[in-house]
Formats: sequence, structure tokens, C-alpha cells
Amino acid sequence: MATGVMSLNPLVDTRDTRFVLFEVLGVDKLTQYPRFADFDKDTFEDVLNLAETIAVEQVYPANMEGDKIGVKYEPDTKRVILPECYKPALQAMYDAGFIGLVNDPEIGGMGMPQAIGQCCTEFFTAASVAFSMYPALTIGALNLIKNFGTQEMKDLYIPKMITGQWTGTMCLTEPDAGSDVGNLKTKAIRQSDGTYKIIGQKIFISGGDYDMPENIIHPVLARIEGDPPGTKGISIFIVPKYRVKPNGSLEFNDVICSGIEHKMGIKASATCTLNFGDNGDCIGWLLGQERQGMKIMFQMMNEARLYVGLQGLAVSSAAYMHAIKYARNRVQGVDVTQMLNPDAPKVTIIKHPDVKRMLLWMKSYVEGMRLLTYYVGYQEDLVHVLDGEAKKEAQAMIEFLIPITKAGNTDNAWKVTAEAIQVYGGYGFCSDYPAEQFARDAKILSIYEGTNGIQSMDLTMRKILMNPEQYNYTVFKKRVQETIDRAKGIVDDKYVAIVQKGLEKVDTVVNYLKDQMAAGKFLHIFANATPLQQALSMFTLAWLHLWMLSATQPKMKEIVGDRKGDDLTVLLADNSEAAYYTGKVLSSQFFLGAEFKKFFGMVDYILDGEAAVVKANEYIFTGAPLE
Amino acid sequence: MALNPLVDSRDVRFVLYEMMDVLQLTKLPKYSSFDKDMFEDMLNLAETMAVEQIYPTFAEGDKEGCHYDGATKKVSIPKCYHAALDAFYEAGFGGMDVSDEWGGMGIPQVISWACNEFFCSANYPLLMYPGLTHGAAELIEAFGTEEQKHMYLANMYSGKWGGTMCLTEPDAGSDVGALKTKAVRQPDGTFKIYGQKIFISSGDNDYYENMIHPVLARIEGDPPGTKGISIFIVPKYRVNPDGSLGEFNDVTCAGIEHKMGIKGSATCTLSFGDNNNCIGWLLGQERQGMKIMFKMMNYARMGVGLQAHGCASAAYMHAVTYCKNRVQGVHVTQMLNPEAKGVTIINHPDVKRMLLWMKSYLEGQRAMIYYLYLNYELAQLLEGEAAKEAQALVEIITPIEKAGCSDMSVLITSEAMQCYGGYGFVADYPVEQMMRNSKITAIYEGTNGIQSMDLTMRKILMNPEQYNYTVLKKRMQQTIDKAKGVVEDKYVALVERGIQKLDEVIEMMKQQMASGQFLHLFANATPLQQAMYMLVIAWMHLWSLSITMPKMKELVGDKKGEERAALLKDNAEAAFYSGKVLASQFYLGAEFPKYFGKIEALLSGESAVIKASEEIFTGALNE
Ligand SMILES: Cc1cc2nc3c(=O)[nH]c(=O)nc-3n(C[C@H](O)[C@H](O)[C@H](O)COP(=O)(O)OP(=O)(O)OC[C@H]3O[C@@H](n4cnc5c(N)ncnc54)[C@H](O)[C@@H]3O)c2cc1C
Ligand SMILES: Cc1cc2nc3c(=O)[nH]c(=O)nc-3n(C[C@H](O)[C@H](O)[C@H](O)COP(=O)(O)OP(=O)(O)OC[C@H]3O[C@@H](n4cnc5c(N)ncnc54)[C@H](O)[C@@H]3O)c2cc1C
Repeated sequence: MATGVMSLNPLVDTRDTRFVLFEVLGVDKLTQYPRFADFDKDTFEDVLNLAETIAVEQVYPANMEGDKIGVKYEPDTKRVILPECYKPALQAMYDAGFIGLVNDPEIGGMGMPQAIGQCCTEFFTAASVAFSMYPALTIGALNLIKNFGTQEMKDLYIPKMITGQWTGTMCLTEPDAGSDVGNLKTKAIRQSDGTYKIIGQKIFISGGDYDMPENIIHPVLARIEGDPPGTKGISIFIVPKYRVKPNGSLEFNDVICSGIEHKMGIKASATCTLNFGDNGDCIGWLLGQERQGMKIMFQMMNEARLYVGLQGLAVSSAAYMHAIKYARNRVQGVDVTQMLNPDAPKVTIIKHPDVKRMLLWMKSYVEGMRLLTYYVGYQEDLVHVLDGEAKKEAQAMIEFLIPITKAGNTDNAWKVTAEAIQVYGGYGFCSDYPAEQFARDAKILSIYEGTNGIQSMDLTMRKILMNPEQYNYTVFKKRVQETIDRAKGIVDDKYVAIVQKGLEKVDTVVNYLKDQMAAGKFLHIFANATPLQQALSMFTLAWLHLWMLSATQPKMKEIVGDRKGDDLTVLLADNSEAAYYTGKVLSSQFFLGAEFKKFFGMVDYILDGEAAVVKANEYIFTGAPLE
Repeated sequence: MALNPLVDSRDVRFVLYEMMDVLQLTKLPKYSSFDKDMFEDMLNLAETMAVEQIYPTFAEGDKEGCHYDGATKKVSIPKCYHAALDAFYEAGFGGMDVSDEWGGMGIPQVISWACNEFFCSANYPLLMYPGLTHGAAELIEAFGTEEQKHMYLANMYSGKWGGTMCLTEPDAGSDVGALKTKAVRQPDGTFKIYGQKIFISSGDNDYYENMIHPVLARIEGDPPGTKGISIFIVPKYRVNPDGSLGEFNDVTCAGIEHKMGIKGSATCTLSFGDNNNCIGWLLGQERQGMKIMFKMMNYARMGVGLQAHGCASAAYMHAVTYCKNRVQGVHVTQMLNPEAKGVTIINHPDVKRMLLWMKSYLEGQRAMIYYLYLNYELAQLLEGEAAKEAQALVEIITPIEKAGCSDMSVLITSEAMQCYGGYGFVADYPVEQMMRNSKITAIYEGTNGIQSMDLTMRKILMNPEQYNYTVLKKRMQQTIDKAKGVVEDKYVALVERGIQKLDEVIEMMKQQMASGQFLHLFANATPLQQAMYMLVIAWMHLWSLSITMPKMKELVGDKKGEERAALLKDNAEAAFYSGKVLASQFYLGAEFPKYFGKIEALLSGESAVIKASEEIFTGALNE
């Protein structure tokens, strides 16, 4: 690869994306499989560079403006108005073909690996969290139609969606159905022609309505009249804003936006209340079979959860990159070693140990999250190209890691973006600087697509305890052990040993929870779901840092040798590869040597068996009014 | 006790009377005319005012924000703030802890700060106006001449005039010593002030008739750095000898900041002497500016901890109410029952965990904060060793309280939003504003990084014989000794082990200090502060537990299951003490184990931070 000449941008460490893709995951090896045989590393590079260019040059400049203007709603016309600056940026992304980046060429996509897609989406999302939601939702809806739609539906919708002419949403939430999707009330009434009339209201629908696409295609969860309550009775329908008449012209389908939310962040993303069938004239087309709505939606939800995890990575990356740049330029105080010298020159704050600590902390999280997120994408590619046990294992890793990526990355995102504000000092709190927006944008990530509480229960119950023979977990453990074995002799023993010790602890916890499960102690298990998710998220990052360290440690030795002091400084200043690998090693060492110690306290939280949460009932939360 | 959406008033009483025994103050001459009823009246009044007059300005003040008129250079604060501030001052809260010589009520600090907890949780951006005014007045009270006191104090404590604190400049944030504002000596003993201050809270506004700015500046010819700094009183309008307002003193607001939160608090850029007509009066002695300001700063830092805590308390209380009303999902034990009815989310284990987590931190913090204020007062009231010990506690706990409560505020408000689900992110609900407000507390009054260095270096390592730390340890040990036999052994043992571990860390740091390993010390300052915060909270919980545990046993007995639930539902005291016990057990039994991970990180000697030079943070543009 072309070393050291990678472009610098304010959003993502491009060099690190290549490290993860090609040096750690070896994504270029996918080209040996027929599915990706048309590509080579250069074609990957081209598309990555294109994504970066569009993200930096067209999307990023719209980010702050989009936040300031926000989405507007006109009650009279019921129109939703997107910040104008978003439109050319979206168009540029669409025109470059990024909606269909990983879709099959036969439906108009480029057929790229998912892992490459992850990286491109990281660029777009780091440039603007709210921005990338529009294409991401379109991609999700498109894939639903691709996987479950009739040929007619595919022909009708996919060509328009893949170009962004028409866009998509995901309509689950209702006032009484948030986490509990099964509680939804939207109704579908069977018509004689096989279609359904849809009646109901959905809230919080991202991209639900706005003045850019010609048409919006809503996959809507609803209950067919007479079907049972709960998730079992849910079906999914394709409900376009405008239906297509036989002659190809568009006719309004009685889907109205009745308002938008004003929010703490992602203000340029339209969060809409949608009314279906207020005038009795909203038609939906069944997707897949009746009462299969949840199963179908789950496929999209997994994809969407991975995307939300990626949003967490991307906004953290952008916040971190801005913080470095700020810390390099802000002059404040004197060097620690010169504190008693009244004539000491002032230094940039990046020289202060406490600021370096903040930056290294952020860096270690961002780099761990990047590998995690791309790794999951890469497993999806492997599921496509492999067979048998290998395919099953890749699938198991996806299942296991999706709630970890979603909840772990998004919890981290709030902390990383808050730390970036801290690096900026008082300026970070002011809207003239970008840091506070990153934090405001970041917080929704731990809530939508299933709150992190819901993710944690999914991880604990479905992905681990109820998973037959804990197959997912067993595969995960095997992969971690492989990394440990490979690291031996390459990485300092203490870092290897701590991950090994961590793995043993994880095992102890899983066995502990299995025993509780066998004893029917569900309250205990559910009370520990989030602590387990948090501990596993941290452990997963430790695993990935050890993996990275096995690659970076030898590289650093090769480039840096045993240079020290000034000699080393000069090298690092001049040789960007030396600086890069040294930084990678330090970031991993920091994570494993300092940060990861906290994992053991988190595990003791679970193993100590404190039952206070289980004993707490609603009455002990005293002092607050009842309503 | 009243229920309100802001502060658990029963817990306020628990900490004041059952833990801290603040009635001990009424035995000291200064407070001999007070009794519990008077304290109660004050607290109830504060609560009522906070709930009925200040809290209603919370959301509106944020939406309206502050406005700056470029033409007139005038700043207007949210309209709804005016009436609330009037009420606050009319009730005498502007000078509640101030001597009657200046029109105050003279109540003990710890009571006044309990009142402030109500106010801060109701709307702390609003409270910044009287808060800064109080701080500035206190400076004048402590260091001003008789003439200055008579000129300013009564009007400031009564809310006619406001005050600020003017340190920050573009190149002087954390590094106050870098300031450029100049003072030029005049023949009449006054000084002409020239310079620009930024980020000045309340710097200009349409509430107070006059603004009194304590301004840090350097007298021409004085040395660079903090040593050459003096402090001046610079009113917006000069005051005539008869007390009426005189000539405009050439202090103009050049603009205000647009911010993530605390939008009702005006953050101003102030220009002094643009027209060469700004006069400042020296406060205290020349070149004593930093020393004087430090007095205010210490106090202000304690106040920032309280703001952060209050903001988090309100977020928690709102979350409790929300979770008691939001119906979503079925009970865990009914998950396989298709007929099961939806329950309020407070019944879900994961939601209980979130609430208990918040509750445990807030109750630990409340005890820590009141303890700090009590000692602040005792340091002045007591004599000899006792006073010295109280002062030592104030010194060492202040940076822990400021940094710890503000870091937690960011996390607690975020967890409160998590309880609200998607609604929490929406501006129609109050938690997102609480979250936006929380972050600044980690930054102003000295960033938490600066607090951590203060703690590590000045308050511990450079403190002769680590006296502060020794006193802290002694007090913690006393709590442990008292808890033995009352509280379950495992909780006592954890705290005891916690102290031993901290000792190891401090020993390590002392050695690093002796061998001049300053980079290591500074790199570990924040981790030390974070660990010590956790230990102090653990200490407070152990202390609390040794009171609540017997009380709970007395009230609840060995009732279990339905019987216990019925009791807790009907008997508020039983519910309160059960909740206290559970919060402490949760903290000590589940949360506090994380402390040991933090300690291991400190002891690990990992030197990656020190090895990290600027160059290794790759990928970002340089400018
Ligand atoms: C900006 C924004 C964009 C959104 N975009 C979309 C979209 O495009 N499409 C869409 O369909 N929805 C969307 N949503 C909705 C989002 O997915 C929901 O807000 C989310 O699923 C949570 O539901 P809720 O808000 O009703 O919270 P609730 O379900 O009421 O949850 C409140 C709290 O209770 C907890 N809780 C609930 N049930 C349980 C349980 N059984 N056990 C333990 N804990 C529980 C939750 O974890 C949470 O902490 C969006 C929301 C927002 C704010
Ligand atoms: C809303 C608001 C209200 C404010 N109100 C007031 C007010 O009323 N009066 C007033 O005077 N000021 C006020 N301030 C200013 C505030 O106190 C400063 O912002 C704060 O002291 C930090 O200074 P800075 O912003 O210049 O950050 P910097 O000093 O540039 O700090 C940036 C980062 O570098 C770190 N850092 C700096 N120096 C060192 C060092 N030597 N070692 C290690 N780390 C270091 C900091 O911890 C921080 O993380 C206010 C600010 C805001 C945003």
C-alpha cells in the first residue's frame, strides 16, 4: 500500500482504516472468491477514497449548518423541509452509487464487500451523523424488499431506491409500542384485491417525510384485523407515500406527516409522526407472509443495529480527531517539567500529561471500536462466501457481536464525545465549535434501534444463555483464544496474560449465569444483563487490541528500532508510518495496561452477587411525585 | 415531607440531622439563637420557592435563552427569570448565610447550601446570577475596606446589584497567570483598567441595576505570571458617595456565547476601558490577586459541585416519576404468558438497576457535599486541632467534590435520559436539557483536569506530611470502626480494603515524587481523583448504612414478599430506609468493586501516556 501519503482529514484516521481492513482483517483476500472476483485492492481503494472525498468535501461542511437550521415542519401544508445544504451532499453521495455499494450488481449495486461498506459509511457518518441516516434507512428498506418482496415489488421499487430517487424508512414505533413492539395498534384490513388498508399512527419515524425524494417507501409493522395480540400477530407491509398507478404516474397514498420532534441532537434528521389512512385511503402491500412481520423486520433490525454501532464509532472518531487538532493548536500553560521556571515558554496543551491521557483514552476506544465494527461487517462477507462450519461460525460471531457493537459503541460514544468537549475546555461548550454537537448527536444512539438495555437482554438471553449449547459464545471464545495464542512471543507477556485472565473471568461469569438460569433466577439474570454487556464490550475491545498489537508491535520495532529521546522524536515527526505504528502500540498498551483493569471490577460487580437491585421495588424510590 | 420533582427532601433531612447532626451547630455561640424549627422553616421555604417559582422557569429559560443587542450592547436574560429572582431575593435568600450587618439572616452554611440544592436542581443557570453575586460580595466582605463594604454589600446581598468573577481571557483559561488585562495607576490611588475578559457568567444583564466585577489584572510594571496579578473592583456604573449610581464606568459587553446548555445564563465578553474611562479599585493588597481570588474560587468550586449534583438530582427524580408511569412490556416472570398485561417500566430489573445506580451516587454525593460544607463552617467556628482538621477535610474534599460530582452529572443525566427512552431525547421532556446543562460543570471553575492536579499535588503530595490525607483517612477509619457489628461484614471489609489500596497508591506516588517522576504523577492525577471520589462515596455509604440498617430492621422487621411490599407502599419511612439501605448495598456491593479496577490501573505502572508524544496522534489535520 502507498505508505504515509494517506490524506489527512478532520474526521477519520484514514491510515487506520486501511490498517484494519488490509493488515488486520485482510479484506483484500475476499477477491479470491467468485462473488468478489471482479475486484482488487485498487478498486477497493478507489471507492474508499471517493467516500472520503465526498464526506470531507461535501457532507462535513453541511454538518454544523444542518444542525443550526434543523428540519422544519409547515403545519398548513404538512410539509417537512430538510436543511437546504443537505440536498447537494445527499445527491453527491447517491450519484456516486453509495446506496447500492454492497448490493448485487444485478439489482444495480456495486457488489462491494460489507467490510468496505462499513468504512465508507464511517466516513459519511463521521462527517454528519444525521446525514447518513437518510441513505442508511433507504438501504434497510431496499434490502427488505430485495429479500422478501415479490418480483413485481422489486421491479417497482429497487431501481428507484438504489439511486435515491425514492427513499425508505422503518416504521415500528407507536406511542404505546416502543421497546414493546408487540403492543402496536396499527391495523391492516384485508381488501378483496389482496392489498390491505392501513390505519394507524407511527411516531419517531426517521426520514419519515422530507422535501427531497420523489417518493418514500415505508415498511410498516401492523396487525391484520383478527390476528392475535403480541409479536406473533404482526405482519409487515410496504406502504409508499405515493402509490404507482398502472400507467406509472404517482397517486397520493394517504400517508401524512402530522409533526416532527425537536431534539437534543441529530437536528437535521427528520423525526416524524406519520398518520396512515386518516382518510381511509392508505394501501399497503404485504411483504412476505402474514404474521411474519417480526421475523422479517428482525433481519433489517440486525443490519440497522450494526449501523447504529457504526454511528457510535464514527461520531467518536470525528470528536477525537477534532480534539487532537484542537489540542495541537491551543497554547495554554507551561510544560510540567518547567513549572517552576517563570520564563518557561507556553506550550500547546497536547504536551500536558492529562491531555495526552484524554487523547490516548479516546484513541484506544476509537481504534478498538473501528476494528470491532469492521470485523462484524467482514463476518457478513464471510457468511456469503464460506460454507459449512466456517459459515456457521461467522454467523455466530455476528449474532454475538451485534448487541456488543450496538450497545458498547454507543455507550462509549457519549463518553468519548464528552471527553472531546473536555479537551476543548470552555470552548467545547460553545456552539461556535463543533465538539458540543458531536455529543448531542451521540446520545440518541444508545436509545434507538432497541435501547441498550434491550440489547443487553438480547445478548444475555438470546445470544448466550438460550443459544443452544452456547454455540455463539463458544465460537467467540475460540477466536479470542486463537488471538492469544498468536500473540504469545510477539506481544509483551503481561498484555497477553491479562487478556487470558480476562477470558477466564468471562467464562466464570457465563457459568455463573448458566447456574442462575438453571435455578430459575431470572430476576438476577435480567438485573445483570447490562453489567454483563458492559463487561463483554470492554473485554471484546481488549481482545481486539491484543490482535492489533500482534501486528503493530513487530512493525514498530522494525521502523523505530531502539531509538529513544530526541532521536525518536525526530523520527516520529518526519516519518508518518513510524508515528502511526508507535501510536497504535501505545494505544493498545494503554487499553490493556491501564483501562482494561477496570474490567475486573466490572466482573466482580456481577460475581459478588449483590442482590440490591432485585430487592428494590418501586416504593423504595422515594421522594419524587407519583405523577 | 413534600414530594417534589427535584430533590428527595426526606433524604436532605436524613443527611442533615441523622448523619451530620447539624444541630450541633446550635450549641456553638454563633448559632445559639437557632433551633431545628428555624432550620426547617428555611428548608421548607426554599423547597416551596424552588418548586413553585424557580422550576417553572427551567424549560422556558432554556428555550428563550439570552439575547444580545449589537446596537445597544445590552444583554437581556430570559423574561421569566425576573420574577423568580425577585421572589428569591424578597424571601432573603440572597443573603441567607450573611451577617445581619449586611442585611442577611445568618443561617449556617450547611443549611444555606441545602437550600441551594433545591434551587440548583430547580434551575441552576438561573441560580448562577445570585450565586456569582454572593461570591463577589463575599470577596469584598473578606478583603474590602470598610468603605467598600458599606458601598457594595447590602445592595449585592439584597439583589439590587449583581456580581461576577472575571478571570478568563482568550489566552488565559486554565493558565490564569497568562492574563493581559492591565491596570494603570492613577494619582488618586485608583487604577485605569484596560482589557478584555471572555466567558464571564452574568457579565451583563437586564436584571441588576449595577454590576460589580472583581477583575484580575496586572498593574503596569508588575511581574508576569500569577505573582504579578492584582484584583480590582470594577463596577459597571460608578457609585456616588451617597450610594446612588454615578457615571458609566466604560465596561461594555461585546457579545455573548451560544452554548450547548445553561442557555439562560448570560456568558459575556466584557471590554474594560475601550474609551479609556474604566476605573478599578484595588481589593486587598497589590499582587495578592490570586490569593484573594482563590478564596472565592474554592468556594465557587464547592458550588459547582453542588450545581452538578443538583442538576443530576433533578434528572433522577424526573426519571423515577417517569418510570412509575410509563407502561411498556410485561414483567420478566410473565414473559412467556401471552395474556400478561403491560407493566410500568419501574418493574423491569434493568430499569431498577438504572434508578438504583443513580440513587446510590446521588445519596452518596449529598452526604459528601453537606459534610464538606459543614466542615467549611467548622473550620471557622472551631479552634485548635479541630479547626485544623476541618480545614484539612475541606482542602482535600473540595477538588474531589467539584470534579467527581461534575463527571457524574454527565453520566447520571445521561442515564436518566436512558430511562425515558426515545422521549428523553426530545425537547418536550426535561431530561435532555439537564444533560446539556451538566457538561459545563466539568469545565468551568478550573477544568476537572486542573482539579485533579490540585488534589494530587497541592492537596496531597505537597501538603506537609500529607496532613490532609491523614485526617481524611482517620475519619474514614472512624466510620469503619463504628460500622463494625452494625453493618454486614462484607461491606465494612470492602471499604477497609479500599483504604488500604489507596494507601498503596499514595505511597507509590510519594516515591515517584521523591524520584522526580513528575510525568507519571501528572498522568495519573485524574485517575487518582476518580478513584478517590469513588472511595469517598463508599465511605459515605458505609456511614449512612450504619444508621439506616438498624432503622430499617426496626421498621421492616423480617417482612418479606407481599407483606413487605404492602408495608413499603403504605409506610413512607419504611420505604425510605429500605431504599437507603439498598442504595448503599448496591453501591458497596456492586458498584464499588469497580474502584479496585481503577486502583489496579493506577498501580499498573503502564507508561503509555508518558511515551505518547504529540506525533503519535496521527491522522488528523494539523490545523
Ligand atoms: C430521534 C429518534 C429517531 C427514531 N427513529 C425511529 C425510526 O426510524 N423508526 C422507528 O420505528 N422508531 C424510531 N425511533 C423510536 C425508538 O426506536 C424508540 O424510542 C426506542 O425503541 C425506545 O422506545 P420508547 O422510546 O418507547 O422507550 P420505552 O420502551 O418506553 O423504554 C423506556 C426505558 O425502559 C426500558 N425498558 C422498556 N421495556 C423494558 C423491558 N421489558 N425490560 C427492561 N427494560 C425495559 C428501556 O430500555 C428504556 O430504558 C426513534 C426515536 C428517536 C428519539
Ligand atoms: C459557560 C461558561 C461560563 C464561564 N463562566 C466564567 C466566569 O464567570 N468567569 C471566568 O473567569 N471564567 C468563566 N468561564 C471560563 C472557564 O472557567 C474556562 O473555560 C476554564 O477555566 C478553562 O479554560 P479554557 O476554556 O481556556 O480551556 P484551556 O485552559 O485551554 O483548557 C483546555 C484543556 O486543556 C487542559 N489543560 C490546560 N492546561 C493544562 C495543564 N497545565 N495541564 C494539564 N491540562 C491542562 C484543560 O484541563 C482542558 O482539558 C466560563 C466558561 C464557560 C464555557
